[in-house]
Amino acid sequence: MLWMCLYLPHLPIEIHTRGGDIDGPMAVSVKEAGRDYVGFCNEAAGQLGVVVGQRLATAQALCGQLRVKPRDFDAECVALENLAAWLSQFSSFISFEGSQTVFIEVGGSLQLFGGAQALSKRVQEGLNALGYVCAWVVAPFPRAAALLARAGRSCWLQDSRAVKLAVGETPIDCLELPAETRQGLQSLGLRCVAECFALPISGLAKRFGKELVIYLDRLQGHAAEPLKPYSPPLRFSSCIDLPAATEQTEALLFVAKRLVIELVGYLRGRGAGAQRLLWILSHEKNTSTRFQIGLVAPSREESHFVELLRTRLDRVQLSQPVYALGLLVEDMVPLAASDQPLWGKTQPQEAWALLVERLASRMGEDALHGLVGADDHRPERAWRTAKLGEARPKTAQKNDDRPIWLLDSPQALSVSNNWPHKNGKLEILSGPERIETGWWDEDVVDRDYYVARNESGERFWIYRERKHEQKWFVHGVFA
Amino acid sequence: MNADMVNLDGLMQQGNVWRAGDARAREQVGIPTGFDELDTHLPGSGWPMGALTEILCDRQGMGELSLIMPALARLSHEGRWLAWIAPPHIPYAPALATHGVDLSKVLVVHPRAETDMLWTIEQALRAGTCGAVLVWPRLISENNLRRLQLAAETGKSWGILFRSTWAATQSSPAALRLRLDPTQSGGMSVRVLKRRGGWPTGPVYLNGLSG
Repeated sequence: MLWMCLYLPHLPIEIHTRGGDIDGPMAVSVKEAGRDYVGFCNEAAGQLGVVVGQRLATAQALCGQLRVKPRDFDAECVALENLAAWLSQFSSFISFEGSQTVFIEVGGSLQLFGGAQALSKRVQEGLNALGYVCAWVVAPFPRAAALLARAGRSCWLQDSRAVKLAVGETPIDCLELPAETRQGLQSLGLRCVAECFALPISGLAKRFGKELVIYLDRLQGHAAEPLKPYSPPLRFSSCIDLPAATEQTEALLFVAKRLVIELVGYLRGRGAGAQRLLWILSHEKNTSTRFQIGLVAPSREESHFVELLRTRLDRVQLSQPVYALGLLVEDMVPLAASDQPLWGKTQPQEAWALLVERLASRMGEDALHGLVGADDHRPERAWRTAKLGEARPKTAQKNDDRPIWLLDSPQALSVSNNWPHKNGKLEILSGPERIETGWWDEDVVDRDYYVARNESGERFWIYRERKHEQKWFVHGVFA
Repeated sequence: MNADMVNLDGLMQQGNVWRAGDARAREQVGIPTGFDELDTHLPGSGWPMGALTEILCDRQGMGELSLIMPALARLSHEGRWLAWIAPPHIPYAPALATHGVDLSKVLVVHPRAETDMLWTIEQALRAGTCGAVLVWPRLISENNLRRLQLAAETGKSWGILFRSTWAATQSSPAALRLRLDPTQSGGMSVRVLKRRGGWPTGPVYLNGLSG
């Protein structure tokens, strides 16, 4: 078993900066003994003299425009869970600890991803794309990996000897132990962990308790580390706050891209594709605008999802500024990885799907439809709108003379000398064709249809009502 | 310079200048129209693919759609889609089926806003998956026509624009321009106003297009 531990030192502040660059100093405050201290701060704040551990009041005095947010442990855990979902494309065993540490079992994945260096590079680049910075350590023992990652080292330790060496160099202060234990060890004159390893176990146990011994054993791999496995949720849901309320498409797309990267990682982990994406744009006062974007076929291509959202956003006028963007995907469909690129040589099927998605994305799905014939003698019911491609070829073609254009609804014709007129006097060419039907649903049609032509050469499909005043109507055009 | 100077571009547009280096016209293969006499007047013996065709007529109900039905039917059976963009009336499914069109390849689009119209036509032409794109533009500028012509070339699709005869005075990058007029006998006369690699020609008289 080989473990990769990822430690995200700035996660508490990154969850606020993920949504876009914050220009200006920012800090996350933590409460200790009733007082507020600076827990994390960004570069801009650091340049103005804000330091981690300072009293918040001091920091605010040093820097007037400091934006302060209290530490939100729950939000951090949610972000870490979404990150774990993204990581599930690399491994089937993921565990996290606290709100800043993730363990991934990579022993089984090394071959597929081309070795530990390649894998860790990919993970790191992916995390950067998502807006995080991390330290990564790959080692046979998770506890050792965690210790080194927290100490800020990024490395790959291949065997227990290397682990012992690396861990040995770590100062006592970095150990994940209560403060008294660490102070006690330091008061014994110990400076680094290697010196602890050299001491007899029974003595340590008597002085500091069993927990220290178990911890040291876990560091060296002598004792097993129980880790609680994480299972990705059945649906994908993630949300990023924007640094400032905005209506600009580019700002929204920047955040959307990050959400889509998370989604694609999650989908890869599940070996699935998404077909319906629900985008939720949150406005103030708990209102939100929702877009449902549907795909013709399930996919997990990043660029595809982002392009469809861009097409929709180009079309829509946002009534209010957006504070946060969320993405929800509930039904997923198993999808094998395809080795054909989406762009470049597209197959006709894909080209068709792309066209339909683009049109539907911009104008809404009900702006497109197909046609299908129906079994009904009433002309207005002998056809209906259909899903694209729904029509099946009919074996027996009706050979009745029917016009290519049907009017949306029959138009009354002006009559002069008891003869119908449309742009001139109409000459009957053929007919009557009697259509008398519809008694079962009370939409009774009782008409005599004729093909008629006027002096300008226009040919129409007209009818006369047999009852009800025997009016003349035009119903179609023989184009 | 001087108003009497001939506008070379205008002449090129109208197909009045034959360019020796223009080998494209010779290699063109068109979709047979289904009317042999009309085919003999068209370069490539048929409708030009990868280009725009303008059908100019002032009246509906002459047979302007029946003229292209055989070609549409053929395209639909070859697996290419027929896109009707904002048709003026309902394309009547039973009639299309009688003309041999495979209904499962028919797409009807209703763009909501004017701004969507041009974009939709361009997308449909460019996609390549639509064999024919039928459009009834109200007013379209030469620049936009050029854009559509380019899109048709990219997607190797056949764009069909139905316009009224006054558009004949506007120059156009369309590869083929036909003018339809009714005849006394109840048929239709087809004049080729512009075609690639040839002079205007016609009229061809077609009867019995019952549409």
